[in-house]
Amino acid sequence: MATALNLTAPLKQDAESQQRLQQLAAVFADQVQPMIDAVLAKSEIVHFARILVIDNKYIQVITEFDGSPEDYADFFRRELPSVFEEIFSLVEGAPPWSELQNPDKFVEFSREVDLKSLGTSPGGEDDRGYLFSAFGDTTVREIKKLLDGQSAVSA
Amino acid sequence: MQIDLSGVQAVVTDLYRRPISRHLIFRFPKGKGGATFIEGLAPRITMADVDVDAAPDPLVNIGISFSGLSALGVDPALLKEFDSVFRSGPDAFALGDAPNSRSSMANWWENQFHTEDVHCIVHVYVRSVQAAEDATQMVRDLAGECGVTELVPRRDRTILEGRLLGGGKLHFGYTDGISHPEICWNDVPTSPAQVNFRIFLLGYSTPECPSAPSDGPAADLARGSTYGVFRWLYQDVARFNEFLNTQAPKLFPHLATTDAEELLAAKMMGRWRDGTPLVLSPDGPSSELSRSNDFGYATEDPDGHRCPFSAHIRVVNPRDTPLDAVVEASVPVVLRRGTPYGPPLQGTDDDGTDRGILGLFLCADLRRQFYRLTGWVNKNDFSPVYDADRHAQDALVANRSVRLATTDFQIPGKDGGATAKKLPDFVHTKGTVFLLYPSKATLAAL
Repeated sequence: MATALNLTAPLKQDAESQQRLQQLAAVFADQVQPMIDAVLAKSEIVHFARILVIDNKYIQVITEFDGSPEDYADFFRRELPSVFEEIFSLVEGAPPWSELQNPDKFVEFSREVDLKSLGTSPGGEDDRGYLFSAFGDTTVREIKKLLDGQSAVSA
Repeated sequence: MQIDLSGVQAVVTDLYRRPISRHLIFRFPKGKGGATFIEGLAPRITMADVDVDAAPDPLVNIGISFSGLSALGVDPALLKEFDSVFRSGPDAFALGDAPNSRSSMANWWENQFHTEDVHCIVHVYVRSVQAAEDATQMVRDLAGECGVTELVPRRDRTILEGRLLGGGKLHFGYTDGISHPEICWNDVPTSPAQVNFRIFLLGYSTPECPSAPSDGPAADLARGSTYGVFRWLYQDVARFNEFLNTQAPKLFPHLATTDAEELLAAKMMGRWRDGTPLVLSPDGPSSELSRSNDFGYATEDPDGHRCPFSAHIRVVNPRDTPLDAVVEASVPVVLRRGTPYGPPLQGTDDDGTDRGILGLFLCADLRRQFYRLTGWVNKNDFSPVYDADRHAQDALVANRSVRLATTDFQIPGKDGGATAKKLPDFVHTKGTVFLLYPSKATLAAL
């Protein structure tokens, strides 16, 4: 079934970082969101994705996707470098982007800040915690294929 | 930049042709014993400036695990810069060694020791039994002097010894050693087929060919070294032969039994057993094509009618097959340095003897090269050609107990194709360890 990414990281609290956070929030819908939209659509593995900021103290990247978390994180690094450079530059304790450009470092840091949800994984193959899915093990590609088939029938 | 091969272990650069190999597993003592052992062995390690065909016995190579580097006293601050997969050690999920199967890590090394106990493996390659005895004794004497403990991985106290079967054959009867990457050891490739040395050697990380450690003192320490995965893989020859024997006549009823078995064996591998690629010669082996490696799939066999999508060589090297957007544009490449072990077996009656392959897979990025391939083997989900079933598996070497695995093997054909039902496990893992094959400079620093 789908895998959840619960990336949750503390935000830097200095004035300059907080100001950059506000700038990011201000331009997100117009400038960042279309980039993410295009890349995630291209991936054909992401069910849902969103980015949250909690009280200007934490940032969360929460997604549900098909496949391994490591491959997924590496895909983000390759396809959305500017977005993740900006996000991780605001995160307390994150290695500099020059280090995170290395795939192993990026995957390792992503794993460090990926919170496990409560409970146990229904898939059982990885200790990632509980995730409910109404679609069982159906992947994004399979769902899209089924929907395409339905559209064709309706037409 | 030109790599000085005199500083790189020859096992990285060369395919050895010695008929016998031994793989001696050791654990270092507390204190200086491990470093003294490495120091004593270092002058005997075969480096890549040696003519490996002409050199006297033995050829000697060494791989050191992460726990081995720690035991040698390498600065933890440097060690934490090494590849996180190397530091973590084998991951059952990524390897496909399902816990509910014979490949479970709980069964590895015949329960004689744990993977984390392994500090180094010394490989010796020789031409004769006497040379094997001499080389083994030499290494054991040195280990004894240094207080280094040998770990014997079998209940019957025998060690891991590879024996070539002749004719370049492996236990399932296929010819080995055909497809190997040509490495460009400088920055001026002479053909598009040449592969950048940075894909295998550490300490030269670039954004295009990244590896860890990427820079700084840790990269200095690792420069010229290579990560290696040593896999002890059992091959169930009786089960494989029985599968061919029972399934082939049903799948290809128009053929004589022997021909049907050979065709099924070829469909599972993607090559006839002499090495001829199915894509180039779908109707039978051809001695002229048996070493051929110059072919693709995208235009020559887009529907898999010649070589099934889940044939072994099509999974581990999809060549020009279109890949999913989420997958990196380039196909992962590893250097394979395997050798068969155990006596050959004919027929379908299992004699209970241990046989298989002692595999060594070398690369600079364990996750993006080695784990990616093990992932693809156990779940064919990296290309739109698998859209009909993204839980299909490599026909030969996958673990059928992987969650949701499809155990049917689809053999597409113009007439609608055929399906080989219920693929069993033909291979299971008996041990795996991640190692660093240190360069001469790294050995000196250790």
